[in-house]
Amino acid sequence: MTENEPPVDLDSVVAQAPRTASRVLEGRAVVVVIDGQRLHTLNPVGTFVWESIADECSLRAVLERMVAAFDVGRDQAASDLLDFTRRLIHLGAAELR
Amino acid sequence: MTGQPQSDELEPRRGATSPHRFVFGGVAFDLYPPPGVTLAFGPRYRKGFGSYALSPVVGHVSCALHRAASARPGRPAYLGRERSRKLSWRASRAELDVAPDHDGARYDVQCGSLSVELRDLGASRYVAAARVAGTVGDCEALVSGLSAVVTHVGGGLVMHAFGLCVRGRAVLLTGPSGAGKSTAGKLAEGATSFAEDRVAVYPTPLGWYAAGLPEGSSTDTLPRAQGHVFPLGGVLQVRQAQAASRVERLRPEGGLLAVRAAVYAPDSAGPQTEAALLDRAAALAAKTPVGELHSQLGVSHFDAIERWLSSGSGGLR
Repeated sequence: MTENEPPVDLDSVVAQAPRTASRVLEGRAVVVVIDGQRLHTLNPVGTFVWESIADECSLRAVLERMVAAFDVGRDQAASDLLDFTRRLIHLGAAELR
Repeated sequence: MTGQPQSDELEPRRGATSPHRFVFGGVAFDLYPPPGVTLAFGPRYRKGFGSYALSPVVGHVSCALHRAASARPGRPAYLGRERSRKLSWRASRAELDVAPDHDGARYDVQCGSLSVELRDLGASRYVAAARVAGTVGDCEALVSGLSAVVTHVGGGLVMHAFGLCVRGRAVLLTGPSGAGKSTAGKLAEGATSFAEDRVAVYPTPLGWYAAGLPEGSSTDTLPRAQGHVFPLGGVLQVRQAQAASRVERLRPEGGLLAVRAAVYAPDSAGPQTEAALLDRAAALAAKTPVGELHSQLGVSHFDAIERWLSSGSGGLR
């Protein structure tokens, strides 16, 4: 994370950026970030998070869903979720609300 | 007079002169130049290839178009001998013979500096008119632009790709600029090429088809436009490699990514347009094998591509 990026924690409310488009094929999302004309593919866990923030949602709520859906410890899931969310924001695919 | 056709230029009218006929990007054109402008057709352009003369073009150019989807594989696109009255145009005033009660969709299209009115008559048939006040290059822009628009209106995509024909099927080599598409294509000895940079792909009841969209400012560009359309056999994303050339099929999301990355999108595309492009790319990738061609420099890839096609991964069994 750089100094210019807003802090992200489990109380953050996050949503897909409006200028994105995506489709999910066999559990993996393809995401287009329109303004950068960048294309990304997400693995199943990333796709789970991506679909969870289709509407704005707190990361704590996303974490609860992740822990229920995947065989993963809460601490590990929280760390992964925060890292992934920061990357999405950095890429312009998601934004804080 | 501005470049935008006036509304009274599209009033129903009977009668038409003989059109100049050719195929560009899988779209069959009946094109009517302004009076006094000659379009030259040489022997090598028979069977549907068109050629523009060097004469300056000033006046109304009108055209009737239809998607040439009924072509046999590897043959010039079928132009149809019978023209519907609804597609008859009067060359002198760019008036078209559309039934008065026709309620087709109308599109205002910008082809280079030309403002063009395009009407969708249904059943993959269209009519268009523009006032051209420039060189033959404007006619090229008109034809090239309309081919792309008709492709989009018909649910297709325009892709940045080198087009190869292998065993009667189109194989599109994609990748970013500098990836080696053209190099790989030219090294596929045994195949023939039908496009060097742009390809129109479009769905038909027989599956997805592909046709080349030649580009360039030379007046030779259109004559070189190949009138062939091909059933789409596969899409290969080119990667340079040191080892022997081989093809690997991509996972579904990788296939979608590869197809979408090769699609030309309008600069002003918003989320809805992007979503529609993704849907079309996904539809293509679902019906067409998509893989990666690991391309060894200086070596022909034809065998690797043909093996991939023959294995069934490319749709041939």
